[in-house]
Amino acid sequence: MKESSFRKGYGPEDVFEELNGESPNTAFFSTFTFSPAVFHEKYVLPLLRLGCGNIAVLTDPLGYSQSLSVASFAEGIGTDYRLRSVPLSGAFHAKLALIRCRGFMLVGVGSGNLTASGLLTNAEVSALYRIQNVDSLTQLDNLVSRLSMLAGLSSNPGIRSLPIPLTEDSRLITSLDDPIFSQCNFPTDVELVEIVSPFVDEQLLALAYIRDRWPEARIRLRIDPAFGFLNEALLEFGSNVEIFVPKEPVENNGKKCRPLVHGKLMCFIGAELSTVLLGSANLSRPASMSTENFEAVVERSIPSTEAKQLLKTPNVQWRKATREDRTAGSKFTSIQSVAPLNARVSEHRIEVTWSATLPTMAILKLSRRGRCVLTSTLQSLEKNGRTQSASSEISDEVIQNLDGPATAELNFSDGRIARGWIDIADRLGITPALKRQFSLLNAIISDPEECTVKDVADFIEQLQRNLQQGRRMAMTRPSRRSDESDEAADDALIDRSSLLIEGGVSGIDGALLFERLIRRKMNQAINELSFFRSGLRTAGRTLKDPSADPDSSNDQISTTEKGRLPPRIATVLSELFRQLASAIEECDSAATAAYYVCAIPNCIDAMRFAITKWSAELHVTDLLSQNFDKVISACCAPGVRSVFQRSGSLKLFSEDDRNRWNDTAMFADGIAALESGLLIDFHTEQKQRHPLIRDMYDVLKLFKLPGPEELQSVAGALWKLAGRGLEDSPNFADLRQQIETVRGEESAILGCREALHQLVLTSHSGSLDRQQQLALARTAANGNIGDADLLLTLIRESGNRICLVEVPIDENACPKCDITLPGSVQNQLKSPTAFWRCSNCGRLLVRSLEL
Amino acid sequence: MNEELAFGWRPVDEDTSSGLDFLGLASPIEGILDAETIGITNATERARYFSIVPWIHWKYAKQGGEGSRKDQRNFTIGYEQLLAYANVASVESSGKQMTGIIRRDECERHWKEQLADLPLRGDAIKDTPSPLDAALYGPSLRRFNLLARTEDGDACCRAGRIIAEELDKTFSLLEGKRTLLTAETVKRSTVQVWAEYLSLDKPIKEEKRLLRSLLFSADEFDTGSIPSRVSSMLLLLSLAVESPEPFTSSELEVWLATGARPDSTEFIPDSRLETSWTRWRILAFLKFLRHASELSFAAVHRFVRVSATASSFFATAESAAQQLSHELAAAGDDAERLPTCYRDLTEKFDQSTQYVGWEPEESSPECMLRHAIKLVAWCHSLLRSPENRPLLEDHAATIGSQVDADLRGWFEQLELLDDVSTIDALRWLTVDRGIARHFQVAARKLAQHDTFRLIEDENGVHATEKCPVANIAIRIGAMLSLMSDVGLLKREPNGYVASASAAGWLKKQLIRLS
Repeated sequence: MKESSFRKGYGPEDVFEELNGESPNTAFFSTFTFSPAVFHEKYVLPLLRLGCGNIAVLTDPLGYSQSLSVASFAEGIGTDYRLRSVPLSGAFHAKLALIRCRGFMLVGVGSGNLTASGLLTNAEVSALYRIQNVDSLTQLDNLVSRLSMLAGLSSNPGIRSLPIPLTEDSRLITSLDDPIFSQCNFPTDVELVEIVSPFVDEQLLALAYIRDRWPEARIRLRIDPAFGFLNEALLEFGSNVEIFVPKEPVENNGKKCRPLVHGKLMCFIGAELSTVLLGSANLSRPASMSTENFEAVVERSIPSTEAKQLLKTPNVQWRKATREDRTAGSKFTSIQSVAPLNARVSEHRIEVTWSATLPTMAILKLSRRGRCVLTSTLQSLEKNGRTQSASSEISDEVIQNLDGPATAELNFSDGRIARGWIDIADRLGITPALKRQFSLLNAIISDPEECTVKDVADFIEQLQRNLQQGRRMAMTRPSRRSDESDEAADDALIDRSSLLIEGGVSGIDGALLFERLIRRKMNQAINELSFFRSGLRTAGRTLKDPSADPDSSNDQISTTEKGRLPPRIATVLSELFRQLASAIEECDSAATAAYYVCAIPNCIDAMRFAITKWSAELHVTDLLSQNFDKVISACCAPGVRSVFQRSGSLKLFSEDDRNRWNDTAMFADGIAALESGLLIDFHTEQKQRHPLIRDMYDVLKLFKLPGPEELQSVAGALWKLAGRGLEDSPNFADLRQQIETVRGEESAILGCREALHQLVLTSHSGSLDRQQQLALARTAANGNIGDADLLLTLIRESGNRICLVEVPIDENACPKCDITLPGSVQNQLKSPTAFWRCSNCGRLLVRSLEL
Repeated sequence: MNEELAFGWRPVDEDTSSGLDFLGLASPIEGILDAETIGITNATERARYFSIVPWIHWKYAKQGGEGSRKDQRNFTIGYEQLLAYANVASVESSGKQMTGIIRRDECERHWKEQLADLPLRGDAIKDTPSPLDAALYGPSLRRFNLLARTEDGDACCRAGRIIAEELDKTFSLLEGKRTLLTAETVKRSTVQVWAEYLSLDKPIKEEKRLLRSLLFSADEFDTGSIPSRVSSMLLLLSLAVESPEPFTSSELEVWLATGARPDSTEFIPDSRLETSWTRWRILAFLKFLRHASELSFAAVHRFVRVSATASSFFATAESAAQQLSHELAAAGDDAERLPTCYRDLTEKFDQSTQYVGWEPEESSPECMLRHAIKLVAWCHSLLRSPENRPLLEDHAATIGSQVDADLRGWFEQLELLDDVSTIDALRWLTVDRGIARHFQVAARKLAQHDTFRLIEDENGVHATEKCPVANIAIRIGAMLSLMSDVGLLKREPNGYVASASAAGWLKKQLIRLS
């Protein structure tokens, strides 16, 4: 892009090419008209994927009204970015893109709005700069503050905005404090003024200004009648003023090929040097000669020869205007007047702010996707100058429904209406990583059939990152950029007030909110996929062999009977479960353990999604059992007496903790998954493992377990996920009863140890006969005859005076004589039923069963 | 230091296209169709392409020796041309109409030129259209296991070989069998001989039996489980058997929506076809609701264009839609005028009410929008009847929920209209379901250069040149045509009727299903 940038404007793709993977801290846009759908596709999604956590758009009330009209299908407003209307006496007309990264800012200035035509099809002018100079950055940050203040996003008034140096010959000029023309440095010897301006003011005051200031200069004005009016007065303005209009191309198959000319470019050409103004300002009094409008232009000083080349409009040729070209301009049919309204939902509360000139009482309606999710009466409690506000509690059900852009509307008794987007603080305040997660999730669920291996793998990898970040969220309030270390230098200036309005649910509740949202969306996608796949499976087909070309389209029909999970997906899934198990093992508090238990359903859903998508049931039995069993052990390991020699993280829960978490839906789902996994293991594993499974089940039983129907449903799904046929599915309620009849390993070990103690004691007293001794020894040796004989031999060799000593788990020496035990003995003693006679002091050593 | 990266006119995106799914409502319909009609598409309407194309490939393979992909293609093109010539000749001699002839335009042109030698191969012959095209029979031939794509070219599979060998018993006796293998031209007289045997309307007796078996089989001739395609065709056949009069696919779709038999009484499918019945009824509703949405959007589009010619402009698409809604509410005589409340509109449509029709009476914006809201109310009144509740509980009723285009979602929103005025219902239809949807869909498809039909800019909203509304095909036409080709239905001038063997075949297949 750099090589060919001169005399070429920029598009969104150029911005992201220049960012080159850099994650912006903030992205700030201004526009007059606004299309949420195009903005979302062109800017929001790529920004989220880069991890930009703070995106805001300021628009004119017209653009805001346009966004509300498409509320039923808009994406991202109030959840991924904030949208604010800025009412001025004129138009909020500037088209700026201010993207702040560490150490630099990308500054985009142009004539194109954030609409389809503005970003794609119109002939528009624009300029893009990479600003690193500290003074310029400070001024640009000040400009953002000023605009934020105007939009009610900040309380920082900033300072007066002066022209901001962009390069040696370019400055950014806005009309915030002074008219554009009054801040420009024009050549002293202007002899020609070349202008492209879609609109001119009706009284032609701006044109008159130029004519009067440079009476000797020729003025050539290019105007597209599709936009502004072209009347007699303009055509007859003066002998030194020439008016041009675009040549209409010949229709080609019903299509007219010329773009509409919406670019605004003014070249004040002197003998050698020229001043070029490029940006949003038309040749009109409100735009160029007053502060009524908010406008932004780049003023650039360039050689006059280059200035003339700038006038070549793409795909447009100009001709002199004639009287036949006269137009009256567009006179719009009035649109329904709706008063502005600001609304914000945080946790279970909605706060609404509206004009103080409107009534104090109203009916509040919240809508999402065109459906009303709440209607209630609202009474303002607080007047603050020109606004009044009210707040109200909202139920969990309503919160659940606000899982995307939503609007609030106040209907007043006098028939007036106030309407606006809701800022859902819990979504806006999430970490950039989670925002990225949602953008990846949306890419998958919007078309689960067509999404690629890369999409799914990226999503699963992001789940892995969530596991790391969730721990932090569970423990602390979210930081502004949670993926940054504290030591990381961040030179971007932070508007302190933005820290107040970021909000968002912190701690474990915040973390769980997103797990819940992810789960809901994943379930919808799985639901669709399973429907499509069921039809294909009936025909004994899979859509494609992913190993052939993981990202190819679906027209590759495989003749193989069953699908295979793409290797990359299998790898990332294994890694996801490995990380989950290891994160659970490392838990040091009930809160973090609870978070990971809540994360279990989403990890399983990720596996279910992949398996459903690639129809790979028969190939994943190992994948599920190997991976999920690690998670079960990490949660339910019964303690040091078990072969795990440690306690699972569920043992961190006190009774109060259990009471708190038992009623949390995601946690309950996690527990249900763990129970299902254990029961499946119980059903499929060999009997030798049953005592251990029973011990783990005893750990789980301290928590609220699902009802029989829910258990059957959850366990049945897990059973199916493991590639087993539903017809072979056991009755899991019966399995619950069966597991209760098994004696746990822990209980058996305690029995062994008790018998050993008795054997040693009775050997001292000689109260047992040989047969009784032998029976006790066998119990102590857990039924092992050889060990029992050895034990009796050791007792006899000691003259029936042997002493029993328990070696603490972390000890490597005999606790009595302190002689270091050989490595093989240390290993041997890891078994809770093993024993060894100390070669130094002769005591009988066994492993302690307590910590 | 600071750096200028761009300065000047932004390049203009000149690419445009105009897909017909401008509201993004096709994907749930296509998704369910893919699940219910594996191997069949809207384009696969002639059964003989499932026999003759495999025969061509079998024939190539049987030539022995060595070849190449190009060589194979050259061989098959010749026979594709011959097939088209033969059917053009057949149409000419019989005077009957025939649909679905691939390469028809080109071959008809040569045929009418009265050339003695008709081109078969060579530079003058284009590679497409071909039955192997992805948009025609290509995927289906592979899905039916007739052909398979290999590294060396298209191979004939076992099922294809069985049919080919049967066909070859007849074809090998025909004139020019050797020269046709490589010839660049074919004599007109030879085509006339082949016309009797290659007509799409006249499969050979044993070929017809095999094709019937293929269409109603799982994998390769009854070796696997029963796919949903079979249930779908049997369902259509059972409706056809009940119809004493010829019927069209459009009429059949109305039966599906109303749940009625051809004689307007309730249709109760065989228990083995209940799932298919539910799925196809869902598909019918999704089709009608999609049509209503597209019609309402097209009405706004036309209104914007018509208004512009009268120098009346709207600031936003929403304001144009509102203006149109208000004009419609006030327009027409008493009999034609819409009731003030939407509920009154739905009450006009109970189960016994006649279908409102596909096309509006006129193409004025008001007439189009009036028709659209009537279609919505018709669907709504049918969906809310207690007998139709099972439709909303079926898994397929949730397909499309990701894009808010599932039948259950539709019904939820329709129920919310119950207490609103007709004006508000029109706003919902034109803005919430039309304009808002379109802007999002168009933006998503920008990468594919799909075009915005309505463009909002600083100069207000503008409409593009055209906004054609799709005639949504849900593969019923293709299935009826295929069943007709294999002798289960008969083509009549005004539709299809069940053949004499249909009822017996249906009964036999239903037993097989159980």
